Amino acid sequence: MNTFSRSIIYYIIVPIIVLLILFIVSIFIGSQNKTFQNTNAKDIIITSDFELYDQDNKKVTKADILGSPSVLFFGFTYCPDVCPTTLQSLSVLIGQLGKGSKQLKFYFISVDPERDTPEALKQYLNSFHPAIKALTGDPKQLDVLIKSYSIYAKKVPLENNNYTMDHTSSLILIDKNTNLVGTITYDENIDVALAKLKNLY
Amino acid sequence: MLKKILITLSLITISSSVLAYEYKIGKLEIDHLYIRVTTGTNVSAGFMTIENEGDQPDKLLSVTNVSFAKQVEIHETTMDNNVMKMRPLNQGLTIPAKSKVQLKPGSYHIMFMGLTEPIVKDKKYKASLNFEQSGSITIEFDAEEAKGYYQEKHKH
Repeated sequence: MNTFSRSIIYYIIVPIIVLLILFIVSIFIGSQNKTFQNTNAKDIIITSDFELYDQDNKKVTKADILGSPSVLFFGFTYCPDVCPTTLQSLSVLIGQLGKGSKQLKFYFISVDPERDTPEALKQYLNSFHPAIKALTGDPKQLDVLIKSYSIYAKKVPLENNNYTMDHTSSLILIDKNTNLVGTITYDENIDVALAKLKNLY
Repeated sequence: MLKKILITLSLITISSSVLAYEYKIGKLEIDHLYIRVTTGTNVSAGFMTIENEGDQPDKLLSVTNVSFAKQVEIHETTMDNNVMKMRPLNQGLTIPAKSKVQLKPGSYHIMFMGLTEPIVKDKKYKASLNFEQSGSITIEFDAEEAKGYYQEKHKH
């Protein structure tokens, strides 16, 4: 090989190959980044279908949740403190929304199906706004909802074989496609909470 | 006539100042006692305010003589990154000197488990509070429906 063709290889072909490799790598990283962002900012949805029961023992599936925005609260009836307080707060918020509340669905989802039968839930809901429905059923079916929204729920033993549940206490706000769009914390300011609910419809 | 009104007014003032707290034992004043009305479940929570006017801390060790529940514990509810956790205070609840401790939703409560009767409105529920320093006192809870966070906040 003469010096001329060698310098062509060194100064033209090699840089072109390096640039091409860099270009391909950058496209690859870019596309990877995009998919990562997508799963992060959107797509926190109910991942698969489920079969649960409401307080009237009526079957509820993913199809029932789809179509209108919903407010989800994960809790249990043997919760003496935060659950009734939150459900009462939610009842106040629903009242304040007035007619607008009809565009939303409200679900109290049991993290303690062992004790929360449809009958127990029906009696429990008597104290709160009638728009709030309850969901319970097979633990594996409830797990679909619990895992979809990364809800923390853990059984904690008390004395005499009693137990309590540690659980996420925020209200979960989802759009009509079940996309997570926000949360309302236990001690959220009422005006902020109302604004968040109105944003859903 | 005016005299009558003045007497009535002063009587009201006196009685309301006497009733500034509901119970007193040693240096402790206890008031705002209520227990949550139940709706089907056999658990409930009792709430109150305990003020320690003394120079020494005291401790609520236990709640006993409860005829309407099989098991009674003193609990603390905490929020950890929006996760609600409820734990028994096995060592009791300390009432520091010259301070007020509120048993309220989202904080401390008396947990009644295995209720032998539902908690209904307008009924009173008796229990003994046992303090480390001040001793025991029998109190009565009024039964009240659950209040939301917004109503709780307005009240205090």
